[in-house]
Amino acid sequence: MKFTCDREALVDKLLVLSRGVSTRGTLPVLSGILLQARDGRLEMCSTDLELSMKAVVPAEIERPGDVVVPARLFSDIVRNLPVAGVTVELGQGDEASGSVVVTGGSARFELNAWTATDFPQTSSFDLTGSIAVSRVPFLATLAKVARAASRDDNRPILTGVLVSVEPTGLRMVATDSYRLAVKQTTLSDGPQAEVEAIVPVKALNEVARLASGIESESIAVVISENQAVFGLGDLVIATRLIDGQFPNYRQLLPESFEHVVELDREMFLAVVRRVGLLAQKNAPLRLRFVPPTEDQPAQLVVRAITQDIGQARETLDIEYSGEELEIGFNHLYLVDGIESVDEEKLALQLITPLRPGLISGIRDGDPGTDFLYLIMPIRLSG
Amino acid sequence: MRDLLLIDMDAFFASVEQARRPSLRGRPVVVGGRAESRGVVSTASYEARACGVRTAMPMAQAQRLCPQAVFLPVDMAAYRAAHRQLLALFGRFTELIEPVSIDEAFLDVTGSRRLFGTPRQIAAEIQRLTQAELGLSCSIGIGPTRLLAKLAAGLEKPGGLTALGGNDVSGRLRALPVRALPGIGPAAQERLRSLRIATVGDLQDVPVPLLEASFGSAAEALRERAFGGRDDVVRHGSAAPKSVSREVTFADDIHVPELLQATLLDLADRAAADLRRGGHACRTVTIKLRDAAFHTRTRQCTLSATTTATGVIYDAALALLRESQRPGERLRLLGLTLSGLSDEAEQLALDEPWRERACDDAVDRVRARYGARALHRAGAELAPHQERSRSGEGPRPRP
Repeated sequence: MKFTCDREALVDKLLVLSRGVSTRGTLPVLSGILLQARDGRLEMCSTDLELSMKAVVPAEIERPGDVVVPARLFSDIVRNLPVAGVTVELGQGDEASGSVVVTGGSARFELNAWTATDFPQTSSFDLTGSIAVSRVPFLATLAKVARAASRDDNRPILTGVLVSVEPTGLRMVATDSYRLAVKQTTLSDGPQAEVEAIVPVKALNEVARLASGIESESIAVVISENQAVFGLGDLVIATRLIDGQFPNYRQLLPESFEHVVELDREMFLAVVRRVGLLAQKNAPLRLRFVPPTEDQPAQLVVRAITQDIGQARETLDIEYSGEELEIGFNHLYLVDGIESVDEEKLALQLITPLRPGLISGIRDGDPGTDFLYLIMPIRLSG
Repeated sequence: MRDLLLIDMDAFFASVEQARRPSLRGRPVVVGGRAESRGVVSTASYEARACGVRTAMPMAQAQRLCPQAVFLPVDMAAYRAAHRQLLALFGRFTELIEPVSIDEAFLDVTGSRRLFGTPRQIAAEIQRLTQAELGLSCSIGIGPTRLLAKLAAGLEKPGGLTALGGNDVSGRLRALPVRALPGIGPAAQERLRSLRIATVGDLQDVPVPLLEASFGSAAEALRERAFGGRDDVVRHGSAAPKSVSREVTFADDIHVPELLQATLLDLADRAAADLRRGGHACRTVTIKLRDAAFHTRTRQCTLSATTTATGVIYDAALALLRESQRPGERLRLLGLTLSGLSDEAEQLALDEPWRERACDDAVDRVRARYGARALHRAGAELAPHQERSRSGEGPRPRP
């Protein structure tokens, strides 16, 4: 194998792929990047066995071939070469010896490498039959639900986002069992296909990060039985899918609520953030809804007490006519929900202090249904 | 240097009974379970103690020792009311009150000197007031540390007023047996005995390496006790309990699974309610079984998340019971302990059995208003519950 390519183009893609390598696993070869030189281009792959990435760089191929180089060191070397042209060569005749020569100008590096056959081929990165999903709505939809997905590997299914693509639109659902976010986005040019899969949120976040920088207006998506492949221009990301039954989110949404409280998004967010400063160590943020009296309008009293640290309290005038009600929430979960609302006004719907609350934006005077954020309370004692 | 008082009520339950029924004054009074259901003595008045009646002794034995005594059932509500009155009374002298149990409290009176006089004067006034206003007698220990105050209170009972100061550490304290030190139980005593350490003085003199060889990292704390303990602050309010327990001694040994399950359901219901009332959640569930031959064993499990739910606790306890009960085995006692307590408010989950939650909540509210016996779980009425004891109501004594 021998090829020459542009240093900048190579560095660019190496930076992306380096994030996908695995350095902690038991397979050392996973800390490497697979280089495949053929057909006038260089294909590079990384994988941690769950998430795999492929990038393509134009190259002048003198001798086709493949090899696995240590990701970190190879990137550092290429970045530091003195000239724009990089030549990579695997010793001729003894391809199995595992030594790669990288040259640029008069600089010459010789690196130990792995043979390509040691590299696990987790994906074919095949985008045949892909459906095109508009990039901006895809990213916006993901941004609203990604934070609600779980980071706890004990319940793998919850570390995924339920992604449904239909001709009419796109829907994503995520829950960590304490909150649930559902976002439905209408697509004007929806794909003529229907697919649904549980995609690891980690992979989706990577897709989002890389997709925000591409020129293409759409993302190519292929969902097969156990894999999802996303095409982002000259980058392809493949991820295994999470097997199993996603919680039936429709069943988790209560049929009706007792109270609907309308709140100014900015103001409510600011209060929750401020008072939340004193809701440390998992202490609940207490929201008390007080009906109006002769002397004062209805109020929302937000309080937080952290043992041995201190307490905070702030009051908002609201429209509320129900019975006095106090409910506790994790303030961080509340912030995530409020931030995901686009509208100026939001609706907080409640039933009892032990049942979930629902946050959604208010559009045309009514709580919207395209984005729903269901949040479970913290049980308040006493 | 702080001035701490440990106020220990004398024969508390029995004294409360005597205070509210003047006819009982001067007579032996024994409070506890019923003899026919193999109850045990909770508290014996000093008159009954003179006949040899002791706490935790089977009631039947107490009856044999002191047939002339008046035997009364435990009226926890009355004792709790008296406890509250006492705390209010102590509150006239200092804000720093830490109840240790229903009949004991630490008071920090360091800042009360100017208003109320020396610690000894304050203690004497408290003794006078508890007697005059509530008809109750107490023993008070005064000391610069909790340990010395506690030790002092135990030196003279009932009605004692004893102070132990820094000077006593190298004096009076040395002659006391090591078992007098709070926090030194039978096992530690046994090991100390093997090191020929019998008195606090012996413990003070023993070379540290020798102690460490036998007690490891606990040696330091042990020696600290021998020198009067650490200067520890009295915190307002109760120290957090470490566990909540409920147990039942059956009138007749039981082997019928249905009856044991019903008992367990009742225990879970009551213990979970105690847990919620204290504002705690638990992580560990332990059951205790005692067979007809008095062999006691425990089995425990750790839950995947902290909980306050009766249903979750019962399910865990039932699984433990099924694992550990031997076929046909007759049980004398069944107990349930909830530990791994945290004050972390409990974050509910979306797949929460919320109807169960709402049920727990409603049960708690009804009981708060109409009493603990106002309602019980369906199925729990089968429970042949008799002698019921509980702990975790207040904090454990701390040395």
